[in-house]
Amino acid sequence: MGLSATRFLRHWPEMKKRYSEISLHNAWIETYKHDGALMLPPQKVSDRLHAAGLDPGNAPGAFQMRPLVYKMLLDQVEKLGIEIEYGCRVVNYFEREGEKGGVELEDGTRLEAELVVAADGIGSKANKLVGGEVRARSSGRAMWRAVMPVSCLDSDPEVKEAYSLKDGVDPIVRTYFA
Amino acid sequence: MSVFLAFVRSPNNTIEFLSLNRTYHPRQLHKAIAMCLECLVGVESQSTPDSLVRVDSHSDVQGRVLSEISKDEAMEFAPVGTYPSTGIDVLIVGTGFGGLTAALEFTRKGHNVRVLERNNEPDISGKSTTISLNTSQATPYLVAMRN
Repeated sequence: MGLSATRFLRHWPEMKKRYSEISLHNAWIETYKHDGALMLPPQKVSDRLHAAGLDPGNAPGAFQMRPLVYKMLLDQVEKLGIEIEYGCRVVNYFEREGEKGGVELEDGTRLEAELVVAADGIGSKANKLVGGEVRARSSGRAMWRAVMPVSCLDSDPEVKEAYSLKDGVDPIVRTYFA
Repeated sequence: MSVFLAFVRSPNNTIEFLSLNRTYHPRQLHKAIAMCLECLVGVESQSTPDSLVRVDSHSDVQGRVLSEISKDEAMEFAPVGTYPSTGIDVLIVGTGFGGLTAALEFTRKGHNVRVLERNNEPDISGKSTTISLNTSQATPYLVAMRN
């Protein structure tokens, strides 16, 4: 998460603590070309920040696993007793001058509020109200993501060696450019 | 009594009416939410084209002319429960990072939230760590890529 996205945590002491716990501290980073040639040798992230004239104690971002960040937010939502209404598909947003805005659900139900937050991602039905509809289109590039159990790494000595912790201790982020 | 929305302008930490002296303009207001969630406040006031207001607690906004507000003042620690209920209903569609954060922050600011999610259960999956733009700019590998 970028530093600016974490500012609001100052109002949420429990989440702030959790955020620190799930962030990778003492992380290293190294960068390879697609053919495996090393572009940049392992460096501590904090050293890279120093080199860029930045303060590691106030780093512009930190690494976390996405599921852990999401769980942090979800747990806080549940703790406050905020109910999430699942299975509610919004098919339309509406607004009228001087009246409340709202949404229409798949079953025709209309819900209104003083403020409507369209946090439903790219292609939101709210786009037509706030500056035109934006459709996703191919950039011609592809990104592939995968996650696997650590045991998969352990089963192959070469893979295990290649993707070991830095000095067997510290987390390391390996990036490859193609 | 009208409900306006205001946001903090970072250069001088002032609060400015978004809707200016025009009629209530939902389109601009929706955009403002995305721009500055942290500082979003509801304002009940008569506004003028250039009216600025000072925000003491983010909950009790008067239409006073701004003198100056320091960054520390604006960012005072205000955990959930600090703000009284505003009676403003907020409808949130989607429970990604943005939706959940909005639910938390609007609740903290004293608004009533209702949260909708089209899936039938939470999606706690995720397949990668993320490097923010800022972080990536702090690293020199883009230079190395050119070689």
